Amino acid sequence: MDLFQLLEEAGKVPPAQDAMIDAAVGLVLTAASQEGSQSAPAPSLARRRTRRHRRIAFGAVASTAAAALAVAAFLAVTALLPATHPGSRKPSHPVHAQLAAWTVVKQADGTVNVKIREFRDPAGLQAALRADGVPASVILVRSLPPSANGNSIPGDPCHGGPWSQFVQDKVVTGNPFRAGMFIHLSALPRHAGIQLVATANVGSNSPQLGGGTFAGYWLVQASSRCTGS
Amino acid sequence: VDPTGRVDPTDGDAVAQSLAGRPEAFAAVVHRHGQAVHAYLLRRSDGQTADDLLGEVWLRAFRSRHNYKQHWHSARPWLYGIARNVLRAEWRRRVPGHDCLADPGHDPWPDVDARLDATRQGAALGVVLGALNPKDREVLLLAAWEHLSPAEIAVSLGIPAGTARWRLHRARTQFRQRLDEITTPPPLACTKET
Repeated sequence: MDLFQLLEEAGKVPPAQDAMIDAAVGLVLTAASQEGSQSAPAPSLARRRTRRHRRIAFGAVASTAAAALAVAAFLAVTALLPATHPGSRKPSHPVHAQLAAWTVVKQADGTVNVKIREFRDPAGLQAALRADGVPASVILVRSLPPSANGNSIPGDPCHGGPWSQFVQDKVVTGNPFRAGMFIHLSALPRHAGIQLVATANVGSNSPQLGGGTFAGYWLVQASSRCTGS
Repeated sequence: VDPTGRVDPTDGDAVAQSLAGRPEAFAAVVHRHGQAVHAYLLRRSDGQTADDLLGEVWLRAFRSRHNYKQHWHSARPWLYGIARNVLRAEWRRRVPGHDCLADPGHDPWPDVDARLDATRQGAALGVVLGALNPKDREVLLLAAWEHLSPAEIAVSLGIPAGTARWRLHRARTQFRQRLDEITTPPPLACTKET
C-alpha cells in the first residue's frame, strides 16, 4: 500500500450521528433567532444562555437512543391540558421570554424549524406554530391511556388520518424534543395537520427523559377545533 | 439539487443571505459541512471531545461569518480553521497557563497518536508523524485526511498559498523518508563461511 494511502486509511473515522448534525443546526437556528430578536439580551447573558443551550442540545442527543419514539409504549391515563389557544405572536420571531423553552423559526423555503428544550407553555407553542402557517395541535398529557392507538388520544378533538408513515416522514424530519424538527409544509397533505404530544416535561433536565417519558408527533385531520384551520 | 428539484444555495450565497437579514440561512452551511467538521474534530481528539466541541465550532462560525470571503469556493477550509482554533482553546484549557498559540511547538499529538495506535501500522505512522514539525504535520494531515488542496490549506491556516505548497512538499518528503527508515529492515550482515 502506498504510504499516503496508509496515512489516508489511518484518518478514517465513523460518521457522526444525524442527530448530532441536527443538533448543530438547531444551535445555529437558535443563535439566528436570538440575533433576529428585537429584544436581544445583553451580550454576557446571551453568551451564558447560548452555552447552556449547547449543553442541553447535545446532552439531549446523547439520550436519543434511550428515548426512542415508541408509540407502542403509550401507557395509563390521560389528563389533557388546553389543546387550542389563539396565536398572537409575530411569525418567525419567538417571544424572547420563551426562548429557553422552545424556538420556532420559519425559513425562507417555507420549512419551519422547531426545537423544544422544555415542554412548557404548550398553548404558546401551538399559537407560534399556527402563526407560521402550521396547522398544529400541541398538548401535554400526564400519561397516555392504553387505548391510545398511536395517532390520536381519546378525549382529544384531534383524530388521526389515513396517511402512512412514509407520508409523515416526508412532512416531518428530525425530532423537536432533541435535535430539532423540520416541518416541510409543502409536503403536508390537504386536510392534514400536525399534533405534538408529550407526557411530561421532556426537557433534557428532566430525570425522566428516556425513562418512560413519551414525546412524539403524528399527522391528524385538520379542523378548526383541532388545528385551528 | 435535492429530490424535489430545489437548488441549494452555495456556501457564499448562504452566508450572504445570513448577513442580509436572514441569519437562519446559515443552517444550509451546517447541513452541508456538519459531517466533515465533526470528522475533523474526531481525527484530532477523542469521540466525546469531538461531540462536545462541534456546537462551539458552529456557533463561532455563525458569529464570525462576516469574515467569510465570498470568492471562496467552499466554506470547508474556513470551517476547519475555526475547528482548529476551538481545539487549541480546548488544549489550553486542559493545560492551564500554557498558551499553545504562543508556542507553535505545542500540539495535542498524544491524542492523535493514541488513536493511530489502534489502527493497522498505526504505531509506525504515529512515530513518523509525531516527529514532524507540527506546522508541517498539520498541512500534511489537511491534505491526506481532509483532502484539501494547497490553496485550501492556505485558507484554513491563514497562510500564503506558496507557503502551504512548500510545507506540504517538505512534509511529504520527510514523512516518506522517516517512514522508510522505520519500516525498512536493516541489510543482512554478510557472513563468510570458512
